[in-house]
Amino acid sequence: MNIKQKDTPTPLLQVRGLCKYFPVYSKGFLRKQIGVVKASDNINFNLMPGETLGLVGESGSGKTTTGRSILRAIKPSAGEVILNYKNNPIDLTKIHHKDLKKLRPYMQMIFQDPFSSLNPRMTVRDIVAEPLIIHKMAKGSELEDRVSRMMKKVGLKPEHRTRYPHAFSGGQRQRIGIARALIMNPALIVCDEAVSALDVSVQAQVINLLQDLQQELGLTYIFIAHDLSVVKHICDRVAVMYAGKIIEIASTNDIFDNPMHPYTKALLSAVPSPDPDQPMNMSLSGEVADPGNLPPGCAFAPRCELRSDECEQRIPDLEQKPNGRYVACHRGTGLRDSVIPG
Amino acid sequence: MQHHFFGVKNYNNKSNSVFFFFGGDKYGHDLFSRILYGARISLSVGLIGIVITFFLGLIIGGISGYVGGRTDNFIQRSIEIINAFPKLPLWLALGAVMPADWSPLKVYFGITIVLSMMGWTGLARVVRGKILALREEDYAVAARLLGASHGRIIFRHLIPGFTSHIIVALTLTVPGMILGETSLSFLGLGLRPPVVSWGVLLQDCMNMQVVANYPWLLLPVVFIIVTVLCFNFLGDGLRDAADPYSSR
Repeated sequence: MNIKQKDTPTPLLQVRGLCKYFPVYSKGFLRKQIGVVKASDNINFNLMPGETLGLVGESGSGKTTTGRSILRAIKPSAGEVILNYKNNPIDLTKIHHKDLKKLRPYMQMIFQDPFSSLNPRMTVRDIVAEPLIIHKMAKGSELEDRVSRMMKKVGLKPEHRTRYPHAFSGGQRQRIGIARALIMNPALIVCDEAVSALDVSVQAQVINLLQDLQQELGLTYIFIAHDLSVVKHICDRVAVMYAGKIIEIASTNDIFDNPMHPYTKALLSAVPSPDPDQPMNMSLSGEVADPGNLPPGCAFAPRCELRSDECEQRIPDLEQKPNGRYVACHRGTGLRDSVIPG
Repeated sequence: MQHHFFGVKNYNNKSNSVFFFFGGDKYGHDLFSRILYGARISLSVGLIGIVITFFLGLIIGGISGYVGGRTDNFIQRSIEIINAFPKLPLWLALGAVMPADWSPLKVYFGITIVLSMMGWTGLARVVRGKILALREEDYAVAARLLGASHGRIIFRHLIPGFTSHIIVALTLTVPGMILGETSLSFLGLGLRPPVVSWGVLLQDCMNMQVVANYPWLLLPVVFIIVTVLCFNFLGDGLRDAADPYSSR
């Protein structure tokens, strides 16, 4: 498959055929490998500087694995992740981990759970200053200065620097995590369900903070989420994942107004409406596909209302559709005009 | 004029009469002072022993947990083999390796090393289990993504998460060391007279005749029991004090 670059500026990140397979071993003494779980399989997309790409899907669809493989938190099984580092394309999957350290200031991650992502035995100052200490980017009063400025920027009081994470609420802890990720002025941030663990009122604050910081610092986000309303609010483009594959990728407006893949439609129909009179029209039944035991054809076929024989036999490729979107569905083109109600 | 806290004065009209608080042994040594002097060796064996145990357990357990995979498997199986050895025969064998003409000091260090060779496995397991669990915590992943070195992740992020466990595990190994030294010396494989330790003192109680006629020679046992209990209580107390999640 082939995704052509139409845009003239170079993408900050090009993901080509990224795969992460986890081996499954048999029980017993010899532990032979009996299969693989294709947690993320043949992921392709481009990410422009300053863009926010949403990565959505059900639990177990491989969003987090994809995000972590891109940052080399886990080593991908195959594929390329080309980061445009100071106009110098670097393949993150091939690079030795010693050279990776130099690239760390360029790409960072914000974690889902603000309670486990901060070391409970370090003060806020130690947590936020650690990146600078590791990379020897500042010391002494300059270090303290940058920590204070960063804390102010994310809405924390610098005088709280000597406190430990347990003294803060979930939203404040997430701000500490954001401060730690941003203090080295990275270009790329992977937000792994960054607001999912927060209260709805706090979610809004953190999302607004992320958007403000994006404008101020020119950040590029990969925003992993399962909450579609959050995605709609913050993302420029959305990639929908199912069973380890991207099945549709398009601009946020296109995805929400005119979803092409039946799974995207089903996912959107599952978003609860605040209007109590509106009945839920859930069209999705069955369980999410097991990435360790996928059907031979389209992974979504067993749950799909529109499946044909072809769907059950051949895996659909992510193909470019006439309006510049990418959909992996044998029946996708015929669905373009159907708009979900509401 | 001499002042005595308590004692006998001019017993049998002898001016140099003595009083043995815990009685004497067969050579007429004061048992009480010998128990006090014996405490030096019996207690320090435990303390020096845990230093060696600490380094062995932390390093081997740390490697096992952090590296994982085959290394982990190999180390864990080795620990099982060491634990499966019957302790007493192994001590006998290792004790017999030490030449008979070694000075008491050398024998003393030899014993400590023998004891810690057996003692590190427990700590290594604790360390390995904890590192294995904490390695996958988000803050450890975050540190890795920040570009932190392995050493920094281990010493700055992982180990501080279970120092309380290490302290407790170590404190609880001390009684084992003390008992080990006592058993070895009692069997005549560890320290030998003229060195005084609690185990050496108990060598006099080898036969029933002695126990029946001179029961005070068993008094070192009381000291051993009290010391072991004290270290256990200390371990419990430290655990409660160091555990951040216990209710205060």
